Amino acid sequence: MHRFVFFVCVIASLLFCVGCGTYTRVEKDIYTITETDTTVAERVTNQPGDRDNGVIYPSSRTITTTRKMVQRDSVAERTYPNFIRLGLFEGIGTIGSSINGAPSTNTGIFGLFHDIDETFFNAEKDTSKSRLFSGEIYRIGVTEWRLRIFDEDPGWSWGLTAFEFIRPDDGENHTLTGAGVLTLRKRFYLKNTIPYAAITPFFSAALAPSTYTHFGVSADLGSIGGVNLRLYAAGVWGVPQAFVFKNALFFPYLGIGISLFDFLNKEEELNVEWKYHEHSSWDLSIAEIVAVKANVEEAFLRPKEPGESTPIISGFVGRLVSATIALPVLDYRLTLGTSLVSFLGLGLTEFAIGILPLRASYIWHPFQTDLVIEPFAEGAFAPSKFVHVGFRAQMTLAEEVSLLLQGGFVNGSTGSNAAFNTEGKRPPIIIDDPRSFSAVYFGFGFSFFDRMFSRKDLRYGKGYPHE
Amino acid sequence: MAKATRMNSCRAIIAQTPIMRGLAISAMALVTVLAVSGCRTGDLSTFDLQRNTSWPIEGKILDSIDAVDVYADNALTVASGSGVAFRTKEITDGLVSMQFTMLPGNSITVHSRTTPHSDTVLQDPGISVTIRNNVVTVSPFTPSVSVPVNIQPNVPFIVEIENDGRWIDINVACTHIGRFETSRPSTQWVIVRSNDRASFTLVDPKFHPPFTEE
Repeated sequence: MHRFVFFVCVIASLLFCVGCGTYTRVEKDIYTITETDTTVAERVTNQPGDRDNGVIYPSSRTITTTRKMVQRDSVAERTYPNFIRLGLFEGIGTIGSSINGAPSTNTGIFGLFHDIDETFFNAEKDTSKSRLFSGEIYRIGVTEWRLRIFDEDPGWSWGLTAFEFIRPDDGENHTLTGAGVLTLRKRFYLKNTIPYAAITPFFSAALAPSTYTHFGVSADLGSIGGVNLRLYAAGVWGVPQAFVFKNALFFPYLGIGISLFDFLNKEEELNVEWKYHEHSSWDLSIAEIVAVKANVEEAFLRPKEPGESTPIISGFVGRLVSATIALPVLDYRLTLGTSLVSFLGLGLTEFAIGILPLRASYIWHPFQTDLVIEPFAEGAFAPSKFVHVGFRAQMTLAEEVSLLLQGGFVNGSTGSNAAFNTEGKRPPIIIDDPRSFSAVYFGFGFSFFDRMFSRKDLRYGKGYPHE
Repeated sequence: MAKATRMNSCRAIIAQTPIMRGLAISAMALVTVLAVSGCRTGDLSTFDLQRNTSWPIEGKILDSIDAVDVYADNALTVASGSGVAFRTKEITDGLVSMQFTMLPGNSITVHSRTTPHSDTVLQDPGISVTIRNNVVTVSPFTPSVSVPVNIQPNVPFIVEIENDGRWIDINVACTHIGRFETSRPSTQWVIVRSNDRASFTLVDPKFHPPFTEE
């Protein structure tokens, strides 16, 4: 069975990477350029001595006319997006999906807010409180292409989701996983400027590792900077094991979802060259990591031995799947952004994890280079609560890799009832309330798979159709 | 509590019903077929003409695909307000010849030395030959070129455009419109648009490379 799941996942990944459709359409045009040139050379050589003069006086002038034509072909390649939707990650928190009163997954809105102690320290799940959100749905690698059906009715798309994970609740055998999930969607656009708003009925089906169908309707807002918000009313029917029609599950749900690095094109945008595409963000990045020195007693990863001093690298901070969206003030240099995860591991007792933290910043380009100075303030409310202010300097090193210099101050609580004592004993001791901390740090690191935009790349003030 | 139990047993019934199972499998099959057919047919806005000749033509519908009907290997109709672009790959200079039939009240514009790709065609229509019932105009030359030509509705006529380096030679309905010098580079594409409220038929387009005779 494991081999089968592995095989299916490999196939799904290949489908996602190669795809029946492609992500970029290339149009190649040949231009024949013709250049003509005519050279006229006149030469008069006066011969010495007498000449015989006749009726027509003989002239020594010679005229040479040279015509030259050069033809050369110039090949122009234009690239266009070829997809309706291309998304990296979507998380949905489900309401009312619990089957037979099974406990909630305790992951809250968007299904993303996992408890730190349950996730990392095997703490027992708290089932004492009733929860509004029962379960979670995750999608990784969402692709959609245009579907030309019903007399080219707009808004139809079909797609593949590389991996889908559905947990209606925390019950045993209530988990459905799909690889290479086929999806059919029809978008009814309510708002035709960015961020788009649409009502989207959908139907999807997965064959393996679980066999299920998923159908419903969503109200979508996005994308802007790859960020989308969705409300769902849907149902799922399926069996946890592929083609084994036992323990079938059916549950309806209401859901609230968010997706990051999830880009949506309307049909007309498929005819706009990539270089003319409309951008709303200053920066998009998949992974950032900064090694830091902080004013902490013990390093995050390496407890101090007696008599040992704190190492020069005391921890690291990082972000996963981030978007920095331009706001229409201060020449669009004031931004609002978020990340899927913002992690601050400054010291053994000074750590925090923020899921979908809100981050305000100001983008400053001091020179005409790819150097960006960005003072920022970030706040997260779960699973750790913290306020994080600082600055960062980012410079492009190569395509999709940037160098980061970052410094900041963090004040908050870890959000964990497990705490390492200062002697570095593991497993951690259990404390009543999450430990509060504050720390200052400075460090350097790298951003991977990132795209930094300049002011002229932003869509604002250009009269683009979706502004 | 009783309500919740009733709800859960209802869900269990729905989940285990053979009809639901069959319905779900049918739906999955339907989605698979849709996906695979969408994959197979690809881009419906492109078409091929003259496939069995030495110079096959690749076409592209510029607006709604429903506005163009490719009804034979060498013929198509274009509805009002729509357009097509076509090319024989690699041929830039040479002669393109095609037969049109216009309905009353229509006019056709043939663009040469441009491409159908948005950034250029919107800003640079190339050399445009606009054909109306009694006159053919060519732009963008100064002074403007306007030649009276008698074209009858529903009567086929031939348009020939020969690109040869810096020269373009245009014939419409056996009338020589002119030979014009231009510095625009030659391209592979010819774009044909129906301007007014009627369709036209385009039959037997052919590209000939330069210096060839058949």
